[in-house]
Amino acid sequence: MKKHILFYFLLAVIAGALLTGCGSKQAAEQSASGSSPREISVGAGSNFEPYTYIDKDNQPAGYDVAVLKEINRRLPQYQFKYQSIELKNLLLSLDAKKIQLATQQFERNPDRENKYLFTNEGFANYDKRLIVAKGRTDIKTIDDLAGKKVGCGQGSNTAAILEKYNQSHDNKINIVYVQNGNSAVYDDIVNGRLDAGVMTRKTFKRTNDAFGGGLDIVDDNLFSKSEAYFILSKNETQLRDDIDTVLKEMKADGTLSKLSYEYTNSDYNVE
Amino acid sequence: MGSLFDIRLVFEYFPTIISRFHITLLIVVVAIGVGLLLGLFIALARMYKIPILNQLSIVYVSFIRGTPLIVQLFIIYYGFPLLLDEIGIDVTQWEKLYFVLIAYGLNNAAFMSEIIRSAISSVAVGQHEAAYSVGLSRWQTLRRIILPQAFLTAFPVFGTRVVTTFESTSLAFTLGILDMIGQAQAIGSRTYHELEGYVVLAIIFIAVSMILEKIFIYAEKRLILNRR
Repeated sequence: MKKHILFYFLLAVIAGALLTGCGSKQAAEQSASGSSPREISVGAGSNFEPYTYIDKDNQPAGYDVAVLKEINRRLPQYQFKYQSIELKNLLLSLDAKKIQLATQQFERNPDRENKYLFTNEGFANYDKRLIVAKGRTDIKTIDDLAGKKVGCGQGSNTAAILEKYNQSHDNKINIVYVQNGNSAVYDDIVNGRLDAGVMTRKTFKRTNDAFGGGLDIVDDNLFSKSEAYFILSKNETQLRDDIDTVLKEMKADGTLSKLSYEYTNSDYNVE
Repeated sequence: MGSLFDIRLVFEYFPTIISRFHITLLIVVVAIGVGLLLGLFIALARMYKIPILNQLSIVYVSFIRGTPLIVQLFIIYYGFPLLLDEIGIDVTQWEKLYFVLIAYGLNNAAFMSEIIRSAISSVAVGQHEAAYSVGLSRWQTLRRIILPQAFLTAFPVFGTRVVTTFESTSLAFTLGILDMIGQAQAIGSRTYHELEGYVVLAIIFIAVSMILEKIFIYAEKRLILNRR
């Protein structure tokens, strides 16, 4: 009796698996043959105002998302579907095929370029500078950071740059991975738990304005010079080329500048 | 503009954050429900030493109890679909919430099975023997004699488990679920005020946990009084 039950149970499981398997294959074929737009899952960061954040209606929002929506408007063969994902899980979600495109002001670096596809056109200047507590003057360049505690987001390009520095130098930087966005970094630097942070001039201004101006930016030289790009899974070359074409158009006709002013009060290509 | 902490914002955020309470509640209810059913099944498989199922249950329980919940969440959300993809089943585009519910359910099943198993073992062997001797079947014995007695032993631990599950739902945001924690973080990064959201969360969590504890203590007293 017991054996019978087990047998039927297994049979049911296998049948169920086969049915769902066939079902999904059929659905895939249908969408390929029809002329309906191809659905692209987009992951946008969840905590980086004004670029990627979650708005009052619990929807992904920000400059990155606005640019993507405009791109989608000009590329009717795709249908972008947005979801908010924490920065440190964004690339993991690309790996796991949960999404095909990720954005949170991603910068290029060799490790990322090995694994993923970047758009060739950037959509925002992303030059970064060192941030210290107000009045502090001992930190001017990356070499001054040796032995100091520096905060950065896990999975960010800043982290990659700092880690690379540590690999090639004996005098190491003490890298502190920060989870909770700008307020934590601000608080840590002002209270001396961190010696320095790294931000773009725009982010620095917003953070300082929001929390009461306890930070200084190092004006003498840049920490890193780069731009923000959209990042895609390795096999999405067609989508990448389409986005590049549209981004060029948007730069030419001023749409990108308009969006940039709307969200960041400055043009996309200035620091 | 502002400072790091503004007490007025605590009141302002409160309604927005509590509006996501149903997600937290859903996770708890599903986790406890699935946990109870699957947990009873696992406990019985182990009690009656059903071949294969018994060994599987032992491995399963020790795996779940030996790994952090967040690891299980990541394996189920990111790893499991890749595995299914290999055999041709595509679940990568499922709602996140389903994965979270599965993960919390499976996690609770392991803990529940141990609670149930220990409670059943605590019923004296003589009770089984007496039941069999008056001609009850194994299932009848379990349902009429053993489970009602085991229930009383399991109840206080069960209550603790519910409260623990409630608090552990805070991990669901790491996958991007907009529960109360997710809402607090979303507000935080949108308005540059995070601390206030966490204060709201602390208040809600303390209040709900205390209410749950009170309910369980009350129910426990009533149950024991009825039995004696």
